[in-house]
Amino acid sequence: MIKYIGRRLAIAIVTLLTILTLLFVLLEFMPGSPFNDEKLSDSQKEILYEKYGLDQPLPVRYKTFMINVITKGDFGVSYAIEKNAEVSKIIDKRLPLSIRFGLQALILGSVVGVILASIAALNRNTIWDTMTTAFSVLGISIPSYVFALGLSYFLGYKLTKATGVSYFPMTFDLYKPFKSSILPTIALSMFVIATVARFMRTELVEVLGSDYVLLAEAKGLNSKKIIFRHAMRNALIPVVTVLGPLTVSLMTGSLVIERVFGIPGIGDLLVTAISVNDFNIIIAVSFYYSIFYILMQLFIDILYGIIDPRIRVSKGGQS
Amino acid sequence: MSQVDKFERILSTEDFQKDVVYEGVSFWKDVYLRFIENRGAVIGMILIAIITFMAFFGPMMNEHSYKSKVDNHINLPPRIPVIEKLGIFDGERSGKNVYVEKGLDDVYYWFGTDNLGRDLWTRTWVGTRVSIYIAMLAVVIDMFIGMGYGLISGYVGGNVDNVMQRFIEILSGIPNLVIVTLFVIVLNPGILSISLALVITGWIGMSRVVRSQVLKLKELDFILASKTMGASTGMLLMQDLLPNIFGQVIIMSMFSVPNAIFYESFLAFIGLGLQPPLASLGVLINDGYKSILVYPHIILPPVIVLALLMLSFNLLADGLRDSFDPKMKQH
Amino acid sequence: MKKLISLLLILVLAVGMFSGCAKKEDDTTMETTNANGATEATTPTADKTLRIAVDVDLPSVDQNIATDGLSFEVIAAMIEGLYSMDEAGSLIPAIAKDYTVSDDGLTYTFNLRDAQWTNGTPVTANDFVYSWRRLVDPTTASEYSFIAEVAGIVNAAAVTAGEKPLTDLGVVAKDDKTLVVTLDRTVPYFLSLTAFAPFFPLNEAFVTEKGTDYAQSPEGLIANGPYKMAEWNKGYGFKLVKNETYYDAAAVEIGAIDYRVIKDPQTSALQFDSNELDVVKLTAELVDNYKDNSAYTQIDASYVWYASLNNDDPIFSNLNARKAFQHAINKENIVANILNDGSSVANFIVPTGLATGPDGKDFRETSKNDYGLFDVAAAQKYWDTAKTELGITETNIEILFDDSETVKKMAEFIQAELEANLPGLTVSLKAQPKKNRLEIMREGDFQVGLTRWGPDYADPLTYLELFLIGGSSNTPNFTNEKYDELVKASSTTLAADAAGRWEAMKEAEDILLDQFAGIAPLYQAGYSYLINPKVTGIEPHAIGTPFIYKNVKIAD
Repeated sequence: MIKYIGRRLAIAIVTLLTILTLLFVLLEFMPGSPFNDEKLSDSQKEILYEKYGLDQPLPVRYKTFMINVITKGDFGVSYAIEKNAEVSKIIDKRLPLSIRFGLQALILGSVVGVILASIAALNRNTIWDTMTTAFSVLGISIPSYVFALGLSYFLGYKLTKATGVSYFPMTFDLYKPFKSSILPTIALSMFVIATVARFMRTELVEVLGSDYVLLAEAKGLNSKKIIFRHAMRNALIPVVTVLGPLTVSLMTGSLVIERVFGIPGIGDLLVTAISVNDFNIIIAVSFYYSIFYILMQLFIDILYGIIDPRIRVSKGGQS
Repeated sequence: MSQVDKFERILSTEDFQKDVVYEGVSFWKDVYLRFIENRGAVIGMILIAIITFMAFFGPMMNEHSYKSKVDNHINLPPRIPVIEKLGIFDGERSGKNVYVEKGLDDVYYWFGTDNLGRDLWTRTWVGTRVSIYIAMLAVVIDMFIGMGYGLISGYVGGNVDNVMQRFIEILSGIPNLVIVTLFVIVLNPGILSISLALVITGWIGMSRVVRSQVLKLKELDFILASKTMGASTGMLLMQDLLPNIFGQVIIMSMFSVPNAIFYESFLAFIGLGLQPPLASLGVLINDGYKSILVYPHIILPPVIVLALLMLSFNLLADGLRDSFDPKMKQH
Repeated sequence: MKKLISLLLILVLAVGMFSGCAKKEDDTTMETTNANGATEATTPTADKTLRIAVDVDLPSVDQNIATDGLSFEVIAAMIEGLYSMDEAGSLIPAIAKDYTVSDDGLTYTFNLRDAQWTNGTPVTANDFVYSWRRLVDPTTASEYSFIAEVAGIVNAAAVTAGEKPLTDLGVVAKDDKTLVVTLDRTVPYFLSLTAFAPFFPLNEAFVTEKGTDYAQSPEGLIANGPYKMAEWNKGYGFKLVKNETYYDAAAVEIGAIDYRVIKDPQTSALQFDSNELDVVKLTAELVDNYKDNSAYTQIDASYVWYASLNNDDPIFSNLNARKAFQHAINKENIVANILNDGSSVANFIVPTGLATGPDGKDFRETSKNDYGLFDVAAAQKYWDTAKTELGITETNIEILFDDSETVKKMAEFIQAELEANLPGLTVSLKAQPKKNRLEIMREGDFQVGLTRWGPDYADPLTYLELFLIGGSSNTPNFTNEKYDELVKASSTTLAADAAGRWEAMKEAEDILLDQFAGIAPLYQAGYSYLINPKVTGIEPHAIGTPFIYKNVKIAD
């Protein structure tokens, strides 16, 4: 197992370097320049390029860039969003917040999702099944910003107006980090709930129809025990498969939730960076995303082995 | 009549000859039978049919086009003849009939109008048309590329799997947003470039689910049995693996429907959407969102149509899943 | 629809309960939102706090790096220059006590008052010399370095280009309290520029000591103005508190200004409604809800939006085609229906309220105001001629725009207007992010581009200089010798002749908009704000610093 993980880690590093190169090249193709303002004259633009070393030939810039990133974790400075601030510092401040919200939403979403799925699977083709389906479908078919603003409007604004007490602050507040994170967490978890509930139900229905569950039933185990002791474990694989990438995108921030609730996360940072061509931020955020993503993949592959002993991870390439 | 008639020849009826325990219906008939039994799925199917019908013929039901504007008719709430007498859809906003106030006594907009004075009924259905197109494209791509990739990667395994997974890892290690935006900026926003952009990353989720299913299934006994019986790889994939993963594939593809629709609307959000005045449901929702607190009627039609569309796609998917799954053969 | 909402609400509540149970741990201080709207102090030390929502992160508080309104507004709250502006926009002395100007109008001598930085050092003439040199220093690469040249400071252009040393810049500290500036020509608006952030002083010792950390955090900042920065949570907000060492600290009534970054305009409007914010900018879409609210305030801006018609394009190289475009759009409707936020129709390029002439009247009051009036019949006549001249019966044009503010809606409106009013014309729209849009326009790879210009100084030249031959912002590539001659004369040969240059500029505008119809002006922007009626003394300015908060008062 350790040997396997070590090999995977080595591959991961190669993958990351490839991604880094690819990102660098991709952004070369990005039309437009970070320095473009109604006011900026061409000669001043040249001076700016010189200042940031963007006038150097591509190979030189690539070399400097890679060396800085690998040795110092230095992605350069921001060109537009927070001018001249070090990109790594900008991200260091925002990332923990995004991760926190992501994890909160993941936990809430998975718990609710699993409960909903169990209700649906145990009461297949009844009104409960339809209702949980409808609920989880609504979760993904109502655009998240509409949903987020709805939450903010009804629970944050209307409820406060009606009762005079602010149970759910409408926006994120640095000084009340937990109370004010309730609404964003709910909003963010809707997609998780939907995904978990749908996949889990499908799997549970399948597993519940399988022989060993029938046997368990025949042995007289009650449904709760069947679900938790036998079915759940087997139903987890596809759920974990979709949850992995979902977790990564959750933890790297959600543009919409961050905008509606005023959270300084990295989702909004990335989108703003794209629209103002703040290249260094785009590369840095993408790179953090890649790291998360690859670690998550590794984690999931290992998890497969734990959940389902039939998949023997260490076999790697023999099958 | 001869004496033969006195006895009934029961063995001649087809029903009797068949194995009553395991009916000899064909696979597809079987699927069909189980499908129509599923009420939710049928409702979903009907809803999709209705919405598709409206998407095609809705815009022709009044004299407005999706881009014609009337400057005096901006932000009108919904007003429908006859029904208005019931006190709903009567063109009222905060107690005042906006139509009468503006002197538009016999003007009717069934869903109201937007900030430019365009008919929301027509725009909603035209938008539905675009969204369905994008959704269909996403599903088709998911099915073909994603499933093919996942099947091969999972089944062949070994170094092929390794290489294929590394490729996916690199592709999905870069945030979709970056790739898609870049692509759209380079190609100029439009329905074609958006569709192409969705192709680039759309299939990855599907291929992953398929691969994990294949990994799970190929260790199972029945595959081994097939192999032992000399089934070719193609046969194995088509006949043994595919039917078993179809459930997950369909569910997954139904998930790529809203993903595709929202990705498209997200592009609109950052200013790279469809070329206006053409609109999709996503674009309409985006536009309506900006004035949701002031004129909620603008956002409601596309949100409701989208939600219904999603709901019916999912109900349909559930039904299909149950019908396709060989393990569900228990009725 | 109500059912749907209530169903949603129930579901949401159910989930809410669940998560609410999970985290009940803070709330040692139960905050209350007062129903009758009394403002409660947020921190015990500050007696009164002004709470402002902004929709962008603060890009920079380094006055030589900043380029946007918010940055300038925050810098101006912390640092004062030679002069400042009062509520009406007239200059008032700030760090300068007074000034004398030589007879030829080329040498200004400023006498400075006793003021000090927050680190205790006095504000001296050398602080200005350092700051102005830093502005034009190529290693600073300030995007606003051109402003020194606009101000006419001797050698500004040469120093910016790196051709002359910094010490050659025409600014000298005669002693600690005397600053001498030499200009290379008379510049009528020179004094008003000294109230603009790039010309504010900087403490050399402090800036060099902080190095790259300068202006990156509250610790990396010092102030000589009414406020200083106390907190800066990037992306979240920042807080300015009263600067007790400010020379006029007695005039500053409030204790703090609390800025919060909220990018969704609807959220900030709701926050305003629940009395958690005092100043909120409204988007056009939200205006209808607040038009009758006592907090609703319209603020004039000097941004002029115009359609840049590419004069090199096969179609728009035709004068009549450009004229047809000018007259075919109902601008009243853009302003009244789409923007709805206090913007006004622009039948001109030099905006209203920008500059006052030698006769004491606004430039617009004494010049023509009817360029490109909406007139379908005239537009069609021009269009018919254009079609004959071009030998076409139908054609398609593309309008380039960026999806900021309400531009997309405006583009759709213009598209519909053109298609309806000019027979045979179809219009497609192309959206690009703003910076790309600007780049495409600079490269001349467009037909029609919707763009805007904001003034840098209170003179019509800030607009008219745009369309000089070869100018980097002359996107339509408008080329007219006479125009160039007139505009250049008004800053050189006519610079001392106030009335003469005024006439020259009027004539130039006429050439640009009427005779050659180089561009099609659309509207002059206005902004809608919600400002708590208890708050008074926020001073908006169309040029330079968007808001000055020094005299803000909050009633109890």
